[in-house]
Amino acid sequence: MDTGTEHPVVAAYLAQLDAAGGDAGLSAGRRAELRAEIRAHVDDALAATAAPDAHDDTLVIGILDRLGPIEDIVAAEIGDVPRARPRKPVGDVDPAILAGHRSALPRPSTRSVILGIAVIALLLVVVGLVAGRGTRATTVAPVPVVATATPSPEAATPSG
Amino acid sequence: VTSQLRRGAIEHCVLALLRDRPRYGFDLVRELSEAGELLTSEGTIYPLLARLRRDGLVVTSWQESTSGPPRRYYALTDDGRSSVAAFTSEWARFRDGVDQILGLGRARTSDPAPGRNATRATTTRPVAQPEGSA
Repeated sequence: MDTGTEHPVVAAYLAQLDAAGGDAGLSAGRRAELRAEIRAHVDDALAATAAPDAHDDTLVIGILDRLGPIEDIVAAEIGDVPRARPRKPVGDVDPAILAGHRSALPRPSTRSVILGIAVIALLLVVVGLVAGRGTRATTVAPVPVVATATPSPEAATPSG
Repeated sequence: VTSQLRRGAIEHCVLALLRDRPRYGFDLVRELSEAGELLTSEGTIYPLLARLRRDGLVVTSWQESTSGPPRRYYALTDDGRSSVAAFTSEWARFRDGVDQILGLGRARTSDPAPGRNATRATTTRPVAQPEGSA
């Protein structure tokens, strides 16, 4: 018995599905699964018709039309998010979620690390220079300097 | 609107169809179509089934078919069964709530009696007019 998957239109559909899945990043294994399931679907749909004829273009094209555009199938493959998980008690955090958050944390790039080291080095040099001046100033003019800087009544009074 | 409703409910309908026995893809598609075109592109059921499998809600097995190549059968896991049970009770609550709101909506338009609802339904009242200025 001929099967629907031998029809050239079905073969082309499966080839396009495979190519689109590859472009979308689906693994070879997943693409093979999809091909096998779509192939079985076409044959089951054909067998379910009143007068199955694998060479009937209208019949086969109708089955492919109902399967839908290839991009719809590929979009459903890559755009999926888990939604039907059983409810978990409050506070029971899925480790996968934590792992996801961890991997989502920004990691410093090499460039930013080098920039950071350069900024710290520059700051150290500036601090060193300022500290050096400060040290000289304090050795030359410690606390008493303040006193000497203030004119004493004797110094302020004209001697003559 | 219909596509959004369909998207939210379809996976639960698929799980519900598996409560009694394992089914293969086309079998599920046929049931969903007979129930009211719940699937627009039939081929998208396979990505959906793959996701349910990854989530541990269904398991699969390949079995020979008399009509062609082997079929992949899908069966509910315990988690899948729990998920259907949870959705069934949540859906009843959700449906009742929506029905109630839709019922109020119909009563509001058909009942011009004064009161809170009538005030809300008045669209000619200037929105920017300060309270108590009239």
